[in-house]
Formats: sequence, structure tokens, C-alpha cells
Amino acid sequence: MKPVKHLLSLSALILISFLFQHPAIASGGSGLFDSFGMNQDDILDVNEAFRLSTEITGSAFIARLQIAEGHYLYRDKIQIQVEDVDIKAGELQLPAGESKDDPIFNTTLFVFHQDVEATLPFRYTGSGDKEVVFKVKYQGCSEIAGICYPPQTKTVTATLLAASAVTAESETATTESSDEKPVDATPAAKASVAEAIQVSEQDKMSDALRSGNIWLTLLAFFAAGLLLAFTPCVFPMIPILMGIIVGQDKQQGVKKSFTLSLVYVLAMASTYTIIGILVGLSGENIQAWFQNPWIIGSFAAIFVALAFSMFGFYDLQMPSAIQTKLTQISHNQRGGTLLGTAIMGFLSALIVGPCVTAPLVGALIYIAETGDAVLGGMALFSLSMGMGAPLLLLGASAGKILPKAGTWMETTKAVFGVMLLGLGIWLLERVAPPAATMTLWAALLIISAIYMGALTTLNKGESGWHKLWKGLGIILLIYGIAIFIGMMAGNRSIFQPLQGLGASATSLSTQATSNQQASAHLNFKQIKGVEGLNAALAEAKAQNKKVMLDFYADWCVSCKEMEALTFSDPAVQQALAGMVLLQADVTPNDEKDRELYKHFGIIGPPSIMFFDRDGNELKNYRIVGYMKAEQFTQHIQRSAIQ
Amino acid sequence: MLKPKNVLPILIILFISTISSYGLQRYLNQDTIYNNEQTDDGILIRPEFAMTDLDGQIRNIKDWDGKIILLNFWATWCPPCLSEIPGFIELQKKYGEQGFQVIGIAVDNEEAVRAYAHEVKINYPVIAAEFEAVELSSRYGNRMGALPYSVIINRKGEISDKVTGELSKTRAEKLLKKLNIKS
Repeated sequence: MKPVKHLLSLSALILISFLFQHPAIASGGSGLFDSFGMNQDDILDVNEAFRLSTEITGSAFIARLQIAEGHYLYRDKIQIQVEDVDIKAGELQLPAGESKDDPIFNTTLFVFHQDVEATLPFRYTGSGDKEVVFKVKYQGCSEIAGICYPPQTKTVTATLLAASAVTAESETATTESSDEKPVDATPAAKASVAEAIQVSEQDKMSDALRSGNIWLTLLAFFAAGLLLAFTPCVFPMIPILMGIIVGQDKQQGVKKSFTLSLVYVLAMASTYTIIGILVGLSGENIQAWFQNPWIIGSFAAIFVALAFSMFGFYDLQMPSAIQTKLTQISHNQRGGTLLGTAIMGFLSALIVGPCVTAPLVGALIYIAETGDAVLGGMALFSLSMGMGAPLLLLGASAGKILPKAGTWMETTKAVFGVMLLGLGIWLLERVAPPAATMTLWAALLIISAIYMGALTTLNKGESGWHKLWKGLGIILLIYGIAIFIGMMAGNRSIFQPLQGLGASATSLSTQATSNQQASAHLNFKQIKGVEGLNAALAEAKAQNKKVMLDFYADWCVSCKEMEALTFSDPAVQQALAGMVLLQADVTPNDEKDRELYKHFGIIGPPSIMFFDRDGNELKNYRIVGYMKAEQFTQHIQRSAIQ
Repeated sequence: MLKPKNVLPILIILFISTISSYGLQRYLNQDTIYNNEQTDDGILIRPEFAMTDLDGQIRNIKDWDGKIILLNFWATWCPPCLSEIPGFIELQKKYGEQGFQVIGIAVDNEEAVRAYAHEVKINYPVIAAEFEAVELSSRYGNRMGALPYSVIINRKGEISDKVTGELSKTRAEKLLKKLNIKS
């Protein structure tokens, strides 16, 4: 029997047939031709219609506006403002523009249909480095869509160096270049003026694609992927892959396990790539669709079944009809295993690790804006291969290190079986109530501990390994019991199950009522939809407070990581003090949530945004993906200057 | 022997068909949700505001409760906005007696708006406000902030239609007919 092969193929079949039979497929249809009036989605976003980039030289601030075809900007509405005692600004220089007759006012207006460059000459008379805020204002319309956009004001912060008061050499630095402040050691004459405009990480990645050398850019994406390999985006894939490898009946050494890993990683990478391209072109968060209780539930069930076969409870067999069909498809067992492995790889990418990260979003932005799916797709593939590279290494070494047969092999299988069960529970956390998954965690740990001999007396003269094994078992036992007690006390975190148990009764009851783990750390106000956001922003504006908005979802791996590691950090909490903290829980991913994504032009969580006291978003300070506490604190402090 | 090379095409076909069928279903389903939003539980009730109109009166949408309202967001610098206004003036004349009210909210400075309103003889209340008007239009469901943007509010205060871009007189009449306005 080849239990793993059958199991994998069976599970894939179940899942795929489920997808096709999803009840919602039968619904719909009626509304397709009902759409009346112009769809807001047909209209370019104002930031796509008019793309602003800025540059600062020793003596001038230059704003370049790229105007999309069929759109125009009004000449007299383009303004650059700077209010600072140490800056003497000259007159704004603009090209003449094209004349456009205005039949209503009987005047002639001037507009720009092509890209335009506005230059504001200035002199910096201050001594010392200084952060200066420039405001660029513009206003225009779309002739294609027959609409106009509301007036735009963009804020650009630049750091002017003292040296510029002495010389004004035209050493330029573009907005896109970096967010690093000029270093003191730079020769004064050269760094007459430099700037420190914050560019969010995903924009850096998308700009890299737009401008850079292809191979270097792809290498950068690969490297970014390697870094991601050590985050929870990839961790869950380790037990899956190892499960496939150790689940083989015959161990065939390095070559076989490497082939399996390669197939798995290639399937995962292709999936990420194809999804990415689809998301980039459609703007829909496809991975979020798969975060539906039924799909998650089925996949968790597959893991449980896979785990049980590791424990040797049974050999899973399919009905012979399906078996014959599959044999026809796969011809032989080797191919069958590879097919199963590949399907596992693509399901893993879809369901297990839906990680939205800065490089990913960068590539998506690039695809969305340019429609260049080839280069964008290549970038995504490099990124995913980077993520998968450590898995390849691990897979290959597994073939070398793992024992061929015997008791040790059984133990190894059992360990991966337990890990697969853990994975199933971890997946369920996205859809099941915390109390249920905590109970499952406790049960898993306690039962594993008993299997490890935690409660069995050691015989005299038992080997050191047995003692070590029992010791580990006891640790698991204690942890499992702690989780169980914590769950009964109303705690919802498996990392700090006993939190608050030593505290007073009042704090305990507060904890018991809080559903969100986050509220134990930071007090987020929950908002829903664009209206909820606007109401909350208006409230913050009335209180003259800055705002941070966090997009969260139960199925978002980096959100959970952020919550457990970053938001719990005292320094972070201190930096956020005095700010209004909003959270949009987009776990349901419903219409209102998608409206909110659209509002910000994001594809989904994780995403953190900052707003100034007037409720305007500081777009350059957006964060996508996990950020360490220290880095995050600095980021908040930098955003606070605005 | 089936090599990975041969497996991949099968996989890709399988994958693409899964995704596209699911995607199609989502697309169809999404449209249904969108339509339901206006009739079922997701109805948007007209958000309130307090802004001064050209006559110096403080206005709230509440002031016109019980009427059928066409709330139009526009600006004097927006050519498509200006071309729909004569139609609104006629609509106001024709259906005012049946409890129909046009209200204009201009994303513009007051002076320009006053001059234009005078020029074309606008016969309905107009409010001019710059940033506030943009914000209000987004509260009324204008995601992009594009102009012109019009919403039609029924007698119960529910937003029955949202239109981005120019709203012609004939189309406006069609939408009003749904709310039992008789021509």
C-alpha cells in the first residue's frame, strides 16, 4: 500500500470537487446585466490618473505629474506651497499649457494633457538641518470617464542640510531613491541639499521593478523571499513537506526527497505567481476567498487524516474506481506521488500561508499599474523561490539524515504526525472559536506527552534518550495543562495561557470578556466599512489626535505575528500613546471590507496606516507585513514628525 | 515514467480551471451582493450634515425628510457637472410639486458658485464647501471622490441610487419613476 500517495490524491480530489460544487456557483447570474450607470471601478483612481513624483535640488523643488491618457490638469490649480521662516520661495514655474475654451464663463482656461513639471525655486537660509514640508496641490478631470477629481494636496517632507545655505549645487536626489537621511560624513559641498522623503517599502519594491536592472531586481526579490522563509508564512509548510517525505514507504535517499521538495516548492511558487498576477490584474484578494470555514475545515481534516496515517492507525485507501482513474492519470506510483506533492504545494500556497508582504504588494502594484504581468510574474516567482529555497535544503537533507527504517523511523513519523495535527488546529484558529482551538491544543499536547511517557515510570537502567524524551514529555504535559486551565479561566492566548491569573479578580473578569487577544495589549477601536472609518476619523479630528489604522484578519498570518510580538512591546505601546488606535477586522472579507480595501487601494491585510491630526493619511508611512517592535517604534516616531 | 515535467501541465490546467471557475462564481456572486445591498439590510440611510447654503441658512439633509431628493455633488471647474445642471433645473420645475427636491453641493469656493448659480438661475438650494464637501460625498458612498456624483434618496431617507458621472435628464427621470414620481 502507498498510503501517502492515495491520501494526497484523495484529499486533492475532495477539495477540488468541493470548490466546483460550492453552492454560490449556482447563485448569481441575474445581476450581471443589471448594472446601471457608470461603475466606479471603471474610473481611474486619482493617484493613477495623476502620478506625482518629486525631486529636490539645491535651489528648487520640482513636482512632476504624469497624466494618464484622456485626463487633464488645470494649470492655475497647480500649486507648490512651503511655509517655513528659513525658506524664501520664488515664483512657481510652469509650462504654458494648452488652451481650452470655457463656453460658460467665456474665458480661456489652460490645461495640461501631457506630463508636466512644476518648479518652485527657493533659498534655504537656515543654519542646521531642518525638516521642511512642501505641499503640492493639483486638480483635474477625466475626459474619458466624464468626471472630475476632487482637489488633491500631497505633503512631501524633505530634510534640508545646513550646507545648502552656503552653496547651492545641483546635486539631485529623487523621491524614489531612498528614505535614508544624509550622513554627516558626506562632504558639505556635495550634499548641499538632500532629502529624507519616506517611501514605503512596497513602493520601493515596485519602483525597483519599474526602473532597475531586471536580473538585479529579480535577485532582490529572491533575497526578500529568503528573509520571508523565516517567518510564519513558510513555517507551516515545513511539517507538510516533511510529512510527505517521511510518509514515503521506501526511503530513496537524497535524490528522491529532493525531487519531492522541488516539486512541492515549484508548485507553491507557481501558485503564488499565478495568484499574484490575477490579483494584480483584478485587484481582488483571491487568497482571502479560500478563508472560508468549509475549505479551512476540509484542509484541517486532511491534515488530521494524514497525521493518523503517520501514526500507522490505518492505510488510507480510495474506492477502486477512483484508484483506477488516478492510475490512468499518473501511470505509476512515482508520478502519482509527485502529482499529489504538487497539489499539496499549490494548496499550501493558497490556504496555509496567505501572507501579504511588502515585496509581494510591491510586485502587485507594479502589475496593477503597468499591466506588465511578465516582469511582475517573474518577480513574484523569484520571491516565492526565495521563500522555498530553505525548504529545498531541508527536504534534501531530510533524505540524507532520516533513518531508513526501524523504531526511529516510526518515532520520526509520529513527531511529524503531531506537527500535522498542530497545523490542523492552527488552521482552525481562523474559523473556530478560540476556546475550542485552545482545548484542542491542550488535548494534543497532553496526549502527545502521555505517548512520550510523561506519566510512565522509567525502568532502572533506561537509556539517556528515554529520560530526555520523558523530560520533554513532562514539559508538554505542563504546558498542555496550563493552556487548559487558561482556557477555562477565559484567556484566549496559547502563548500566555495563564496571563492575569495572578492578578485581581476584576482584571480577570475584564480578560474573560475580551474576545480579541489584541485588547489585552492595545486598545483598538473596531471599525467597519468606509463610513465607520470616516466617523472614527472625524471623532479623532475633533479630539485633535493622530490615528493609526490596523487591518486585521484571523486568517492573516503576519497580523497575528504583529499582534503577538510587536503590539505587545512596551516601547511600541509608549510610542502609540496619545494616538487613536483603530482596527478593521476584515476576517469576513465581505462587501464592506472590500469597499474599505478599495478606499485605500490595498488588496487586504496586513496593512497599517497613519493619519495626521486632520485625518489625512500619511501615505508614505504605510506598512505592509510584519515589522519588528524596534523598527516599528522608529517608524511611529518618524511619522509623528509630520 | 512520468517526470515532474509532465506533471506540471496537468497541474497548471487543473489549477487554472479551479481558479477561473471559482473566480467566475465570485464575480457573479459579487454582483448579486451589490444589488442586494440597496434593497436588503445594507441600505444606506442619508448621512446628516450641517452646512451653510448660499442664502446663509444652515442646512441639514433632515430638512427635506419626506421628499424625494436628488443630491448632486458638483463644481464650477468640472465641465461634465455643468452640463447636467440645466437638466436638474428643469426636473425641479417639473416635479417640485410632487415633493421632489434637487440639492446641489459644490466642491468649490463660494464666490465662483454664487456667480454661476446666478448666471444659469439655479432654482434649488446650493451649498458651497471645499474639503467638507469632498468628505460628505464620500460619506454618501462616493469612493473615488469623483465629480459629478449624484444620489437619489427616497421618502424614507434611504439612498436608492448612486450615479457617478453625468446624470442626464432622461436617466434621472427613469430613476425617479422607480420611486413613483409621475411625469
